[in-house]
Amino acid sequence: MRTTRLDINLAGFEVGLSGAVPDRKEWTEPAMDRAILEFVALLTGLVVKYGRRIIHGAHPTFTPAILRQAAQHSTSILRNELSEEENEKLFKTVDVAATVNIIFEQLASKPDLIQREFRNLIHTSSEFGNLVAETAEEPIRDDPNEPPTLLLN
Amino acid sequence: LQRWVDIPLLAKDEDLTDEQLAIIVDELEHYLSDIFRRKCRVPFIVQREFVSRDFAWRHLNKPLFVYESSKQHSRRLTTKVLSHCSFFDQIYLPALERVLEFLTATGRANYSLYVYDGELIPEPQLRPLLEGSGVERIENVIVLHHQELAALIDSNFTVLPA
Repeated sequence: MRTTRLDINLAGFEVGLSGAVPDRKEWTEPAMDRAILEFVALLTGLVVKYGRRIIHGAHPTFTPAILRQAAQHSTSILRNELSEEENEKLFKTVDVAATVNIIFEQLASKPDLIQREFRNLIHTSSEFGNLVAETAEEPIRDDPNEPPTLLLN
Repeated sequence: LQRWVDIPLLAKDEDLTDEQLAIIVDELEHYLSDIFRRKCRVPFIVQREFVSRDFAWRHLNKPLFVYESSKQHSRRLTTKVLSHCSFFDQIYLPALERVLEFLTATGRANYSLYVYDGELIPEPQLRPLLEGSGVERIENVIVLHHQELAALIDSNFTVLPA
């Protein structure tokens, strides 16, 4: 195979992503939600594929698309190097990562609780917690009232 | 490329209801409109990337959506790129095989590209798919998303792994 991946390294870049899908009454084009989420997924996919991370404001509408891309592009690389049994355990862990979104939605008004629950999920889900923890770091927040930020490698 | 519509299993002599038929037609229309949208969109994006970097652009085979772009760097040095703009939402191997046949028969180009649209296909999925495809001379084509194209052209095709 000649190439399916360019020899590009985004080392040194931090890509911040902030935004939301506006209310339907404010849409300026049909299916505006689809266009925005496709862009978010594509941008995340490119950044993760070429080795860097998205710093994301954890808006509920963006989170599933970002988590999905992170799971596909980063953890699946490791998946190829694991045994069948290890793969099964990892797959369960990735599923857990997807449920984090539910926590974000349910507890959006309690950022500290989100942080704690997310961390608990990562560390208690399986013995592969460290592996997924690499894709989700706890952010540094100077201001405790600042909204939570999810970092994805 | 399959699409799925969930419909309860019908009895032997039972016909589909109007609502079920409408669901199927709706799915078909979405599928066809997606293809139509890509037929317009992908060549436009790819052309824009090349032309904005001073490449000449022309149709080489319209039914196969193969285009030729070329740029003369000096009297002796010209870069010639053949690009197929896929209108499927994933890598469709029969189409890739047909395009490769055409590219092989067409003659020498510096680079041959299979450009796809839609979601970025993860590397660990894409590579085994292509390597296990059994398509001949598949190593002669570069498979990439149109959003990776700008980096490739800007580097003067130097970001291809050795």
